[in-house]
Formats: sequence, C-alpha cells, structure tokens
Amino acid sequence: MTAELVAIWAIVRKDVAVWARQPTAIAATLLPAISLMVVLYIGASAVGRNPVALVVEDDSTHAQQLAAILKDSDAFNVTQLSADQAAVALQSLQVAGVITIPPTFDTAFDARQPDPVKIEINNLNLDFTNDLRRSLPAAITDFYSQLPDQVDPIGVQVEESDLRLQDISLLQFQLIPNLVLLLTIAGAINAGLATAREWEDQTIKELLLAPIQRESVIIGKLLAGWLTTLVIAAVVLAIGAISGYLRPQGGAWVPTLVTVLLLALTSAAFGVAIGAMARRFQRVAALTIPLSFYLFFLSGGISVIAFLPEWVQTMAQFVPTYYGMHALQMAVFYNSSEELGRDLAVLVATAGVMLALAVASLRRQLTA
Amino acid sequence: MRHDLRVIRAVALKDIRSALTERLFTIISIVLPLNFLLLFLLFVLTGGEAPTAVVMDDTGPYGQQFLQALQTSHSFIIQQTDAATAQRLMAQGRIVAVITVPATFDAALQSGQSVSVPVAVNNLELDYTNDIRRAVPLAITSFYAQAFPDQVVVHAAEIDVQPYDTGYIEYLSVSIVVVSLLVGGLLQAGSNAAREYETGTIKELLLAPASRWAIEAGKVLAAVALNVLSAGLVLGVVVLVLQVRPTHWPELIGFTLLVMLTFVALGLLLGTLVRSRNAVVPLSLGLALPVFFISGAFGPVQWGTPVLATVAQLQPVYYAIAVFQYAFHGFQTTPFSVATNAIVLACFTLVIVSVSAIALRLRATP
Repeated sequence: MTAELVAIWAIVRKDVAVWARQPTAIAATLLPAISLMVVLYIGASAVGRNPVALVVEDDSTHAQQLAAILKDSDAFNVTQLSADQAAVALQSLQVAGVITIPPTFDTAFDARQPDPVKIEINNLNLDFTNDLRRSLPAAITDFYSQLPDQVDPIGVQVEESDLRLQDISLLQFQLIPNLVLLLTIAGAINAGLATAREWEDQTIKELLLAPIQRESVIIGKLLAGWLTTLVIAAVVLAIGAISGYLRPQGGAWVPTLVTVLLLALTSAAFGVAIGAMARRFQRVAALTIPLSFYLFFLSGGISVIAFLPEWVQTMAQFVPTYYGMHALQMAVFYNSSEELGRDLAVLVATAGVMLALAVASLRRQLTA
Repeated sequence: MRHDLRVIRAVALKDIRSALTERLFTIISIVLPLNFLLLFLLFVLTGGEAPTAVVMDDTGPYGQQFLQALQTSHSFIIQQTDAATAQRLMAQGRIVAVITVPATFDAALQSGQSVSVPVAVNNLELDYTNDIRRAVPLAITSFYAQAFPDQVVVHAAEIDVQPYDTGYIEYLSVSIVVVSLLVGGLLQAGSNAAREYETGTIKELLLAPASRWAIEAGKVLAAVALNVLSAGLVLGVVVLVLQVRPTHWPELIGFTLLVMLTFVALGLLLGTLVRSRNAVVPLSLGLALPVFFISGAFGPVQWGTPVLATVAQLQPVYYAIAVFQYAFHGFQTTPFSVATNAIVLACFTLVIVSVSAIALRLRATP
C-alpha cells in the first residue's frame, strides 16, 4: 500500500515538475483564455460608441440643446462638421453616420409641426445600423426629458425594480465564464499533455515495466492534472480576490471553491482520457482547445444566457460547464445559493463520468 | 530556372506526402477552420435585443400603441404574457425584463394624468441592463410621437447609404471565412515547416543544391494545396448552408487564393521560427483570435479606437477581411480601394516569404 502511494506521489511529482518546465504547455493553457479576455476588453471598449458627424444648421435654443445632448450621449462619438465635410467623412468611412439638425428645427418645434432630424447611416452591418437607429430616438427622448415640466409633454414614467442587489459590469461578469474556460482548457491540456507525453517520449515503456500497479499510474496522472489545474485556478482566484473583481463574500467562498475543485477534476479526467486516446500533444491541443470553446459558447459563456437563441438555451441545459458558471456567478457576485444543489449535483455526476472515462481509456491503452 | 521548378515540385510533393502520413492531424487541420466558423457563429448568436415579457393589464388603444412602440424599438424581443407566466419565465432565466402596462394606462393618458409603468429587470450584467434602462424611455417617446403627434414633434428621419441592410451573421460569416483561412494556413504551413526540424530533415534540405527561395516556394505550394480542402469546406458552408451569396464570384476565387498564399506564408514563418509542432498548434489557435477581433471583423476598424485602427492596418488580416467583404457584399470596409487592398496583401505575401527564406538561412547557421 505504502509502495503504491510512493509510486503515485512520484508520478505526480514528475508530471508537475515536467509541466513547470514546459512554457509551451503553460502558454497553451493560458493563451486562449487571455486572448478571449483581451477580445472582450476590446469589445467592451468599443460597444455602442459609433462615430458620427453632426451637422447643426440651426443656431437657435432647442437645436443647440439637442446638439449638446448628442455630443454628451454615450451612444455616439460625435464630431461636429459642415455638411460637405460630413459627406466626405461618411464616404471615407471616418464616420458611420451623419446627423443633421435642419435650419427649421426650432421654428417647427415651436409651431408643433413635424420636426425631422435627418440621420444618414452607412448600413453595411445591421448591428451598427440598429445601434444608430436606436441612439437618435434615445437622444430625442433625453431632449424631451430635459424640457421644463410645463413644456415636457410626456407623462409616462418608468418605475424600475431590480432583481439583484448590485449591477455587475460586462467585464466583471465575463470573468466567471473565462475562469471556467481556463479551468477546462488547463485541465484538459495539462492532463492530456502529461498522458500523451508518456507515449511521445516513449517513457510509457518504463512505466509499464515498473513494479507498480496500473491503478497507481492512473491515479498519479489524474492527481497531477488536477493539481496543475488547481495551481492555475488558485492564482486566478487570488488575483481576483485581491483586485476585488472576483471576491466572494463570507460563506460564498465554500460553494466557489467546491465548484472550482469539481470543474478542475472534471477537466483533468477529460484530459487524461483524451491524452490516452490521442497519444500526441498536437492532437490533444487540436482536440481540446476547440472543444473547450464549444463548451464555453454553448453554456452561454459569451453572454447572459437569455439573450441567446432558444435552441442554445435548451442545449446549455445539457452542458456541464453551464452549471459551473451558474454556481460561480451566483456565489461570487450575488452571494446567492440559487439552484446550488442542482449545479453541484450535475458537476459531481459529470466528474464521476469523466473519471470513469479516464480510467477506462488509460487502462485500455496501458494493457494494449 | 528549370532546376528551381523541380525543387519546388519535389518539396511540395514531399510535404503533401508527409502530411498525409499523419492522417488524424491532417483531418483535424482541415476540420479546425470549419470549427472556427461554427464557434464564431455561436458568438454572433448573442442578440442585442432583450427578451422581455409584456403584461397588458390594460388593452385599450393607448396600451396597444405602447406595445407596438416597444415591438418596433429595435431593443426588445417581446412576449405578451400574464403576470404569473412572466414571473416564471424570469425565474427560469428565459427573459430579463417584465414590463407591465397598468390597468389605468389609457384612462390616465386620456385625462392628461401621469402614469407609471413598472419595469422589473433581472440586472445580471450592467451592459444589458443599461440597454433596457435606455430602451423603455425611448419606446415611451416613440409611443408619444405616434399617439400624440402634435405634442412630440421631433423624430428621426433615416436615409441609408447601402441599398439594403446586411445582417450581422451575413457580415460576420464573411470575416470568419478569413479567420478560418488564417487558422488553416498557420496550422498547415507551420506544421510542415516545424516537422523538418523535429525530424532532423532540415539538414538534408539545407545541404541540398537548392535555393532557399525554391524550398520556401515548394512548402508554400504544398500548404496551399492542403488548405484548398478546408477553404472549400468553409466557403461551402457559408455559401450553401448560411446562404451568403457572393456578389463577385471571380474576385472571390482570386482573393481566396491570394489570402491563402498570405496566411500560408505566415504559417511557414511561424513554423521556421518556433521549430516545434507542439508550439505551432496553440500559437496558431491563440493568435488567430485576438488578431481576428482587431482586424475589423465586426465592422470598419475606423469606427473603433484610433490606436486599434492603426494596429489593424499593420497586418494582413485587415486587408483580407476588406477584400472578402467586397467579394461577398460589394461594399468597402476600408478607406482604400479594393485593388489597393489586394496589392497590399500581395506585398505582405512577398515580404513574409522573403523573411521566411532569411529565417531559414539564419536558422541553418549554428
């Protein structure tokens, strides 16, 4: 029994030491998640601020008020130009649209006559186009809301009630799916690489000839993959807690850590299974990275799940990482145990299935 | 010249045969670009419109007009339900907001009184929540412009530059074709180049009486040939499955070959520099993603931040996306003409192949 524990410990130490000396493997683990985070940061910076040219042909009070609202709007990046300059800017793709406040704006407004504000849109992409289509009416709404009460004709008010205690920013919200993606890729790549390397370096012969049981090799490989994944998770969680972006409050640390442990175990077991089947690092990387991204997207990682099509929402119910993301988001951001039992049950079951798959796959290759 | 052509042919044939001996990896490298297409399509599926339940406690004419204003605001996907169903959908995470038109809505407006519209929001994430916070007042103003045109007179009058709107999927799937070609090129050519170092056959190549140029050209040719399969697969899915029809077929074929050449050359350089297939795979996958995102995949980069726009113009993916958008949709996404974009791409290819040949020579010396 002691000899087997020594063997397991030796395999774990060897795998962890080799992993620590493999910058390529560590880069392969971190790069996709970091890339995605960079992408989301870029996306978040660019969201919703379309460059537009503003042509103001009326110097009167209301026209200037509307112009000021447009300039202050967080939907536009406004440059005030003459009509000719604006046409050139639109033509050369310097701006996505041109808004023109006509010379008759105040006259029509005071006379309560139809008072159109022209918006010319380079509608080459419906996403940008719809943003602009929404943004000018939104500015007009602001314009009316800033009128004195006796002039403002709008008598319908919004009475908002929020389901959650606090708002979470887009970037912060995306950290959880990214953490889950990182755990998935780290577990799969690290354990997959450690397993495949035995065949690639032909050290599998030594392992098979060693006077130890096959089970010790399997347990050692799984533990090593789990440990390396947890090292990465610990670093991310520590940075998140110190920076305040991922800081569960009080008892919420428990479900957070349990979820991370289960996700890391599941992905490490998955990696061992893939590594034993593929036996080559290239194949492991080429299979696990896209597969991890599929799981990420299909579990609603890129968005709030309700914004995804019905079929993706349905499919997400069958993707284990969806439950991991849900458990972590509830614990970390909202200090909530909403559906925690369901989430943990699914993760435990998935870890069990993956462990069985890893054991079966490795046992088959070791005895072949 | 004839000798160089023989070298090119021999190197190309050798690379193709070597790649075909590693069947699983070759299949993966052909299928991976298609994977990128599918993955990014999943990315696109996120809608900008908030799934919202509207509970109509007042079905009077003003209530109906308000509902119509919500539906045409480009901000909501509306489901009209009762209050209990709305609560259930909210609890299940199927909707993110419930707007209730109160029973006194019509009566209050007819008598010139103020009325409050309750809006319950599942404020999971600030960006989407703010969209809802902006969109409801917008719908109220639009409703007033329709219901009380003499009171709300200011409205937007839209003129479109393009003859028709291009959907998000139609636009982005074309950009995704480019990233698929990028991944395919990097993987295939990178692996072909790195294999020479891993198997030690680089010595034979460098000792052979053949010019570096001819060797590089042969490798480029082999990778292009292997890439044709994955490019055809991706283009087939975009054209036949997604029904995104190119407006300029001859240009599409020409630009596909040009872009494949560029990215294969890039892969060749990558493989020559890192000399390990283990590094080529994650680097190809990891680099393709951010490069794709900063290259104007979602719209002209000039509409984003100036720094990113400048960075984007320093690398070929930006020009590749521009020529493909032209071939498919007929419009320009850069300030340059299509011919200029194509010439820049050709220049990139020549420069990258030259750098690869130099790298090969430098790497040959201990």
